[in-house]
Amino acid sequence: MIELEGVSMYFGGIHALEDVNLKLEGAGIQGLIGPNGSGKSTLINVVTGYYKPTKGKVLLNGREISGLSPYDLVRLGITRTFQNPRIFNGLSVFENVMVGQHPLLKSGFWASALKRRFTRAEERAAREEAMKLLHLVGLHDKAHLQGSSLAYGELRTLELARALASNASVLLLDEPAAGMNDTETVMLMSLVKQVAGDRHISVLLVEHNMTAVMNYSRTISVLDEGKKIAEGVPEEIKNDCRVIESYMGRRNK
Amino acid sequence: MTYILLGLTIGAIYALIAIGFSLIFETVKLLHFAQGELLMLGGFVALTLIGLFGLNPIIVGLGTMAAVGFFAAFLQRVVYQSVPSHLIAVRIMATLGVAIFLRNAASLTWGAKARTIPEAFFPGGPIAVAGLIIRPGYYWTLIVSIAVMALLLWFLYRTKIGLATRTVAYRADIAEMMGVNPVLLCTLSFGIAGALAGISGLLVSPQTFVHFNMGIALNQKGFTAAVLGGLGSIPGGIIGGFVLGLIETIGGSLIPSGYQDVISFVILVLVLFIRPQGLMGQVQREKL
Amino acid sequence: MKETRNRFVFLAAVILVAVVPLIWDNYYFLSVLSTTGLYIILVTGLNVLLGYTGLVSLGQAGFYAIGAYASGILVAKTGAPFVLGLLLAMLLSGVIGLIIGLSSVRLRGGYLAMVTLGFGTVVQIIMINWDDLTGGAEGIWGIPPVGFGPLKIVTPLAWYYTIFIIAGLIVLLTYSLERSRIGRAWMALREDVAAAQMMGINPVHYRLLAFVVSAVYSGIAGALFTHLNGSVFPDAFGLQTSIMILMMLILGGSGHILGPIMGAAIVNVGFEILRPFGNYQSLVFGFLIVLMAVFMPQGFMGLWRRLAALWGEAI
Repeated sequence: MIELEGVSMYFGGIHALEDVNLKLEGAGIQGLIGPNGSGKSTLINVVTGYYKPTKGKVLLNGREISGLSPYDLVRLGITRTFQNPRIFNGLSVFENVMVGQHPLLKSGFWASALKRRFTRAEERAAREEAMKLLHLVGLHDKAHLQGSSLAYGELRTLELARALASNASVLLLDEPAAGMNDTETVMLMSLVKQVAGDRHISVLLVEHNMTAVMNYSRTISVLDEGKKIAEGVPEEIKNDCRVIESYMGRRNK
Repeated sequence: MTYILLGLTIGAIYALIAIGFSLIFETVKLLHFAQGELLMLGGFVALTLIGLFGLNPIIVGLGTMAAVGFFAAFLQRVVYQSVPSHLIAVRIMATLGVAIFLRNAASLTWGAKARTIPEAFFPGGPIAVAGLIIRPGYYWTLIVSIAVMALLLWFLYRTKIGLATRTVAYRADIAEMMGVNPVLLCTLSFGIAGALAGISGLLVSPQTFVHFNMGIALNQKGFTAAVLGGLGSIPGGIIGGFVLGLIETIGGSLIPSGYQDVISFVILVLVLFIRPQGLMGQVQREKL
Repeated sequence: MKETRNRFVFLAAVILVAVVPLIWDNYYFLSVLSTTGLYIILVTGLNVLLGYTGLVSLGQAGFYAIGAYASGILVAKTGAPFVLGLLLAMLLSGVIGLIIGLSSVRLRGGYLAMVTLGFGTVVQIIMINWDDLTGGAEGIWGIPPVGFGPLKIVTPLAWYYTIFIIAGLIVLLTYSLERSRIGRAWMALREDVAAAQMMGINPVHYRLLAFVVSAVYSGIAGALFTHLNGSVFPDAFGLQTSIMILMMLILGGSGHILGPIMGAAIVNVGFEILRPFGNYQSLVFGFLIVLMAVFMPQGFMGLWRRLAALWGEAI
């Protein structure tokens, strides 16, 4: 369970986040929406360790984790995808997912260099797991293609597979539907929902695509100018005037 | 006191190299490891022009700037632009290849002996300032380099083309939308950087010999000066150059002479660690 | 398939290396081959740094020099055995590799290139000026032959085998690393640091590791250089050497295990072929570097990969 307690994030004079309180718990998808510039990406960056909150704390199951590095947080089970799919272009699809398993593997420098039995067994298991994940997301037939040769929608799916490879229990998705058409979005979102349930993952879905958010989230939180202005089930949020105002107001500005 | 003067004079040279580096880095996003070789070329071209036209500072000076400037523009247009890779290592390697080529071409064309620009090239006689005798080579170096810098600053900040160049440096795509031709301006930047290197080659002669290997050390020092002032910032390059010149000369008097070149390396490392954006540069934040 | 093919290639290479000098017993030839062997080690080091991890280092000659002088001075002054000289070389270059590697924590691309370039230059300056220890510009000559106990490695042939055995071990080790989680971590850092962090990869840790590994390899090559020649001198460790190493890597194919081998072989042999050019040798060298950057930035292995991919599609 992730909890943000009074988290504020200031960059010089810019208050990207202002006293945000948020809880992320239980298997399933929670949504986070808000107009552009409301601080959604900043929030993800704070939770995943890229920024240290100026004020407030981030807690994982009661333990403070604010300011820990992303690579440490992955070991604690927190991972994310990026707004622009950041897959490893020079590596194959298969290798991308293999990298995802990095925090789970234990071979150190010498074990790897000398290819000890333990390392070889580990690698074999990792390869099987990687193929399983690729089958899950439907990319197994492209396993040995270069990462850079995938279509946009497939990049997103690959990013998801890679994130799942680390056995995370918390997954933050940064606008996963951006740039995808309706069919692709539905496919991706149903996959996320299925995986979240099967693997017991708490997913925070940061999205602009209202349909996706409304259809797949259990609850939704709304940010505006760094502050949380609403929280509730999709029905409530849809009709909440503060939320509507913040979006409408933006458009008129 | 002599040291201060010496430091400023060599600092002016460093500043000119630094500006060249920054200009190229800003527009083409390339670290031009052959910049020092352009300076070396300038020195030799100047000698050749003196051989042809005698000790005529105007012709030789302008001729050198033009020759090296055009050559640099040629390099960008024909060579550097043709490197298809965006990998830094490959582009750096291309500049290193050019540097090796130029060094060897110079030694083959002009010989391996160190040469000097005749003292008489610089008009006028020694002058006395604050109890020191300053030779024409030194004060002309200062005068000309400052004049060139001033001219450059005027060009960049007060003319339309200069403004366009700075826009390309900032955002090439925006510049294109405004009707500016980035390719042309990148070539122009290289040309300017070349001209600066050329005139430095001529002016550096009171302090060093003109020699096919002279570019290597000056390259590193020019780069250090650029980084010190803030890579990409022209005013920064100017300040960085003078500051480095002073520190090196004054500091160099305190340590064994063989180790003098280590000073610039130490400064480079210090700057890159303590304040990588230099004195006037902007902090680069990694976007997530 | 790929695994067995690689094993076959490796076996073929071993046989080739073992047998060729016996057929063609020519001192000059052996000397070129031995130099190639040294460069295979050096370029493999740079491959770890640049090819796998994406860190541009132009100062490999600095670590080469440190290893060479460390072993040379130790043996010359104390008559220590080869193994100790080698270990000292590895230790010293590894430690300094760690220190220089710290600079990679904050520096990107061209800046790192410049700092490592400066490092290489400074090492050479120190070697030239620290007369008492290093023999100054002259260097140290007449280092007693080394070997394993009473068995000294003296003949060029013996050195040829020694160098290639060590080079072979280093290549094997590096290959294992490349295909392991360590190698993948390095490559992830090369591709995208932010994303790599999200895979649990600590950039500082792995970059320092890359630097240390590459420095140690260079140190080993240095020690081998010194005892192959029985002498050590600053000229061999200048900027030109660092540039050659870079060139070999890019020509051979950066990021591929065979890249260094191809690059070292082609450039060394090519350089010898250029010898008749005399004074024009370096000129042509510079020109070829530029040509390579323009027409073959992926190197031979890159070309090979492209062809293999096309073949794969055609079939």
